[in-house]
Amino acid sequence: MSEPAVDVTEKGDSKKAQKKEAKKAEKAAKRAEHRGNTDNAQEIVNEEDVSQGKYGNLPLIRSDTNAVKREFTYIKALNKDLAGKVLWVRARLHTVRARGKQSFIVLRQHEYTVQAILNVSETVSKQMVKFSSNITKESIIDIEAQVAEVAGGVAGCTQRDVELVVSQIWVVSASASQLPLQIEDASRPEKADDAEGLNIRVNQDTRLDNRVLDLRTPANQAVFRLEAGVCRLFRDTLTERGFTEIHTPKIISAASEGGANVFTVSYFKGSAYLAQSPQLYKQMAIAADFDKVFTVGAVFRAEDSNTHRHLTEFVGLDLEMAFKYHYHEVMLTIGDMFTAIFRGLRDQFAREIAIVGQQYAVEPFTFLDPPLVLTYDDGRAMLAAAGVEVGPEDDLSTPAEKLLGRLVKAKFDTDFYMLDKYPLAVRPFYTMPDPNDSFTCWTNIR
Amino acid sequence: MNGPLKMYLMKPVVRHDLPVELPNCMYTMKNIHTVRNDIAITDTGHVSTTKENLDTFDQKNQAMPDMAALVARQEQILLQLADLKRQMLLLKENLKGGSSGQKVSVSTFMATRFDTTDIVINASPLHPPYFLEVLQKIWSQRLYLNIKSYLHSTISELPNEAKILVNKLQSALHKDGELPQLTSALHKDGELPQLTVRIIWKDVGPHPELVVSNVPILGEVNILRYFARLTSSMNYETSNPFELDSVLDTCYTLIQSKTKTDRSAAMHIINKKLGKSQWLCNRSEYSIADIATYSSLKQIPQNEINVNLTKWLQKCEHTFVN
Repeated sequence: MSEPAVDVTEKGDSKKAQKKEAKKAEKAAKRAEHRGNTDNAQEIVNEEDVSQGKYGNLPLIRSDTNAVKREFTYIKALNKDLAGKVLWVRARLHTVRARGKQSFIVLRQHEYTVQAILNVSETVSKQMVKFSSNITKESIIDIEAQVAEVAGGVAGCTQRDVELVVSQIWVVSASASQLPLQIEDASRPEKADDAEGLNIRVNQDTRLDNRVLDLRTPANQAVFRLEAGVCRLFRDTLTERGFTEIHTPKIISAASEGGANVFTVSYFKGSAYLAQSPQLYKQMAIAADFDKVFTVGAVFRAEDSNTHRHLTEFVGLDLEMAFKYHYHEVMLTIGDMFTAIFRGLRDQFAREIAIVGQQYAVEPFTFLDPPLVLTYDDGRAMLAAAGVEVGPEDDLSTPAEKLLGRLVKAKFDTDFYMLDKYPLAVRPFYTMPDPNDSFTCWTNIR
Repeated sequence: MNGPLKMYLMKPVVRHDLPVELPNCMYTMKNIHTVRNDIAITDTGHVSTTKENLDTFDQKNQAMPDMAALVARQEQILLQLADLKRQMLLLKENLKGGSSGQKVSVSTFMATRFDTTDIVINASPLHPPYFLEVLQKIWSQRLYLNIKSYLHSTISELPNEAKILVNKLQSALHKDGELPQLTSALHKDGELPQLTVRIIWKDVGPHPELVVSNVPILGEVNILRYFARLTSSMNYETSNPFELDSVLDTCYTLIQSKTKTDRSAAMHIINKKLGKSQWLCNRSEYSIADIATYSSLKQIPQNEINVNLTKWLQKCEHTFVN
């Protein structure tokens, strides 16, 4: 009983084995053939690809001490003087456009852009050009290139007079092929009536959801640099004038000054408040003989109103100083400080202002040196001439204030002025009355 | 148990009989409780005044209603008289104004003619408004020009010529900001009307702008014309204004012209107008034309001016500036 069975099994086995072997052989043959093919193909590639080893994906950078170290040049430093030099640039790939045997890449670093070009030639293969055209946008790439002067100027790049002729291109970090927003769309100028231009916009929510990408636009880069510039100029100007910078507590046990509401935070077993003004601490510093102090820091105000004059969190630039005889000492210090900041922005940040202006069209900011000081009555007279009557003891309403701003701009061509001698009636109780005129007092700066 | 219970004495919680010492380290505030009937409450405010401290006259009045009515009538008549007197004075003032007394014309010089005490002149630092120093001099008895200088943000630095002019214009003002002492007996100190002129140094080209209304007045000569008509000074429209106009227009061209040949052509015309006479257009007294020409000639290279005009310029300098 068993033998035939064995026989059968043997027979069957042998048959199956034969079939299997045949299949295996077939597969192996196919594989061999395939391998042969690919080998052949690779050989062909190797034969043709003269740029082997000059492009590809870089391995992960792991702070390996043995890795090749290269000197990189910043895009903003690229100019005509570097023409003919071979250098390395690490930057983001802004856009890439392949056209036959050429590929044009725009590299972006901060708000600066430069055009790089790949031409199929003796040293650059077709494969390399194809590889470059397939790199995803916003990837970080390293290129070795020769700087070439461009006579006509490159349109759409900040470095207009040069371009880079690429000899090596490596991808350091590839980005996803699908991005939630395109930097180009996010940095398109906001023109109200531009029927001809592309009208692709990125909505605010998309921008905020993908803030990292949004912040890469030149305008946002410039805005942040300007913000830093204002704080630096504020510090520099006041330090120059003998002020001391102080840092004040932000978590406090009681509300520091009336008026604004405070945020309550839990503080271990009790609760504390977020500081809505450094006022008290500044005054303490004055009383403690610091004479002139300033502080730059976050301010929190629990104001649930939706106007452009209310923010729950902002950076406050505060100063406090003791004066000898007249509050005009303080007023003029503040005025000079503003003028110094404006002057610094005009002289040192013209580029950033221009970049922001490209996306969001604004009139250039104008100011006078020394700052214009008008009295409240001057302001009332100007408003009255324009047909808006404001009583001598009335506060300026917001529309009246805006109108006055426009009138001053028309007459004096300045966006910054100070309104002195406000009526006592609209000022808080602690305001010192004018010794010669019981109705007026302090200064408001607009 | 009848009658009130005898209690122990309590120490008063608040004592009112103490004088309250108000702090004197702060300025005094108006007492908000005094507004009613203008009665000043001089005590500490804890006790209200009663009707009992009426003076004897008032007490009597309450007894005699006829007397009170009489007093009321008398007061009304007095008020009417005062009103009448005020009206008379007003009338007198108006009549005086018509007779063009020197004092009245001085005080109305600015108030009526300039509807503002504050004017703005936009000027290019390359073409400083020299006419202002002339105006400051020739108006010195009638109007004080308070010059303030501002640098507009489109200009980074003020050139030296402009700085010198500003210093000169402002030196009339004393260091402590008081008005200059006046020799004329007509005015007491500080009575001189003041006109604030704010010069805004700005890149406006060769022709300064005077901002009076929405549309600025362009060009030095036009600003001078405006001032001359407002103040009836500078002998402009007294006789033959067309003759002066041609000189003024030549000044305009002179400032406008960019080449030496253009300038010398314009100066040739002015030189002809001057001839051998004292002032331009053969006048015995200076006129608006002299002021405009003086200001224009100061803005061009001094070596381009011929001898005759240089001599005249020196005389101008003597009359207008020193």
